[in-house]
Amino acid sequence: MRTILKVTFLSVTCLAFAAATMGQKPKIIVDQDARGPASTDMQSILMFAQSPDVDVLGVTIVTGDQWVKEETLHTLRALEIAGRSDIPVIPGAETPLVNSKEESEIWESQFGVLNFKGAWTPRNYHAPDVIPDLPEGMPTTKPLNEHAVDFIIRMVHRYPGDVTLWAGGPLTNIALAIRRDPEVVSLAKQLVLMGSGLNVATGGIQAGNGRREFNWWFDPEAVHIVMSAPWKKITVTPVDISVKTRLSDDIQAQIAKTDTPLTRYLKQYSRSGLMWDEIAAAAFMDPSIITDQQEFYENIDISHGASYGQTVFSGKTTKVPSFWKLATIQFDLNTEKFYQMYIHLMTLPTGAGKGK
Amino acid sequence: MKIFCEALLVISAFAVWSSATSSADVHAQGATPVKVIFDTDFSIPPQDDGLALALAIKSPELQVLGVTTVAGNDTMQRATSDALRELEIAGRSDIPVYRGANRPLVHEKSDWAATVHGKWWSDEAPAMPPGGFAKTQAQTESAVSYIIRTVNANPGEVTIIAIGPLTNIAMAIRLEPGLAQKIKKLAIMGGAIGSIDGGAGNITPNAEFNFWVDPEAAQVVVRSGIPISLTGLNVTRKTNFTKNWYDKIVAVDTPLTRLIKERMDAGYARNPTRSGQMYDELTVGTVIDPTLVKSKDMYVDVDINHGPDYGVSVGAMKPWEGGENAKQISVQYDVDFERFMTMYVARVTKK
Repeated sequence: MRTILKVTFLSVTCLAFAAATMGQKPKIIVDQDARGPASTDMQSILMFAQSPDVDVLGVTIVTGDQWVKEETLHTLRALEIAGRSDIPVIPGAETPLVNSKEESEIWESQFGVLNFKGAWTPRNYHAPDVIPDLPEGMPTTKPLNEHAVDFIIRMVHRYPGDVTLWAGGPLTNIALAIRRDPEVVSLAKQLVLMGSGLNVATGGIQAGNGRREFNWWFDPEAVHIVMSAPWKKITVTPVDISVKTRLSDDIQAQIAKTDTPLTRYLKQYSRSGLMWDEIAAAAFMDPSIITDQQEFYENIDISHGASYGQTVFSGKTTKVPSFWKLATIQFDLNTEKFYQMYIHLMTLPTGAGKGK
Repeated sequence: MKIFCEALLVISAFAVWSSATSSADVHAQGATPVKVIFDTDFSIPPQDDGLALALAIKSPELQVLGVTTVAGNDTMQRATSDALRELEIAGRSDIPVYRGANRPLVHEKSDWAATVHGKWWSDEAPAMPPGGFAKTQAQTESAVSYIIRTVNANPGEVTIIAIGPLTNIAMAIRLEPGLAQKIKKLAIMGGAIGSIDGGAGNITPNAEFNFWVDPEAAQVVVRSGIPISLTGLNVTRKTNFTKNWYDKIVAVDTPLTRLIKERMDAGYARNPTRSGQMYDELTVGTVIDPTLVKSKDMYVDVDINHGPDYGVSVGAMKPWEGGENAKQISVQYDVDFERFMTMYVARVTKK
């Protein structure tokens, strides 16, 4: 009789625990230089917004591909179209910590013109406060009246140990957050990011050099601060894996077969090309799509010379000073599984990701 | 008659102009106190930050709105507890203290750093200040938030006296675009300009300590366009806190001078010829009375390459190749030390 009671008690406790944890969707802050409309940045945000399996606490915005003010508006609009205006959008840093448009121009005069500089690209340059017309329409919803850095600090304190910081752009907000509040590193569950390039010739912002990858190059000091911090886990999606993917016309046609406001938005604005942040988003939600990942000590060159902003890395058997941290870096994936996941998420009914 | 009228016109115009000028002078002499945020890697005396705060709170020209702490000479935690205690001793617990950055932006602790002056890489619990920890606590708001909020609420009116590494200031600028344009003035203790007299470093061969602890922050700040007055080693090397001045201070008995005496007597007793530069005290002095020093506008930048010159301030009268991002700031190079010290003693010995 007592054994039966014990077993029953244990099973009930076990089931209750399982129910509690299974009911818990992983909490995530999506930090993005959310270029719009569509783009790899926005598509990764939309994957998270569409997914019933993650709890997006908020989308924090950083200057990178575009300026923070316009990116914030593009994001609000995209979330409206996807029926997820319940996800707060929080604007963040307007400039990197140290790097600047002026410094990049001086560097280019010595070492050669870069083919992409995000918000500083001369071809379509405008000042931070200028908002070019949004072809997808202006949002009616508003961002939170809070700085991204304050939001990040507040969330990791509210949910200690539970919040993944997922970064798809320059790391300015995250660096400022951990310098404002050193507890952020130990309170966060982990760091997941798209950035850096190791052994790849394409995908960088310089012809033939994948090690100068845009997110990391835009704010190298922020990368150094973030990659030197003792996170519980660091997961990196580098351009090495991006160049193995392609958002093809065929994938886009498959998405367009389903008719929702979101698929119409993608049909109109999404461009074919490499996939970047989408991989980092997919791998977070389904790690089984990754077929090759390795640990490296990874950081960045912050000497202001020829290699400023280039990835620096060393094999995990290296004896390194304590500021070097091991990162799990993704090198290959099951592309079919990945594309299917992408199509599936984007064609779910509007608001499928809502609800606890 | 016509000439007489014209002369009268000229004389009265002159009278109006000169009275306008003299009333402007009276205003400039500090009819309304200057609003100040005191950003510091604080320790009580003999540390110069402690001696500088004493001058600031005893000067009617300054209204210290708040004290913000940063890691540098010692930990941010000690800066906070010491600042609270000195304010309590001086009867100024009404001045709030805000905890700031406990690490520089990028600079990491090294084995060498642990052997030289500075505890900016540590979070060790602070030693108890004389007479115990202050009853007042630090504010819950962070230093950086406080700086942003206060400057936004008083645009064009706040002078920041920054006598430690510039981490808090750099973060405030990066978190709040447009803040730089709203800061009235930034009085910095830091840097050493090698191209003018007395420009060698004091921590590494060419770098001054505050700039060396957080070179990236120093670069962000000197390039920010904020009107900056730099009290660097070039001018502080012309100061000399000798025993004769110390004796004048402790001859008058006040709570602050008692603190100074308790903390510095043994040092002067052991070595009566001992002297020290008055880095932070002079920085505060130049806000009270800019005529104490001679300054010139120079293009200044900070080297942030992680090599032999990490943290070195580089300055010149004209722009140079490699220094295209340098901005003009006012660099102090000489001081009327007698006049400064006379003022210092008079203020700090006030009841």
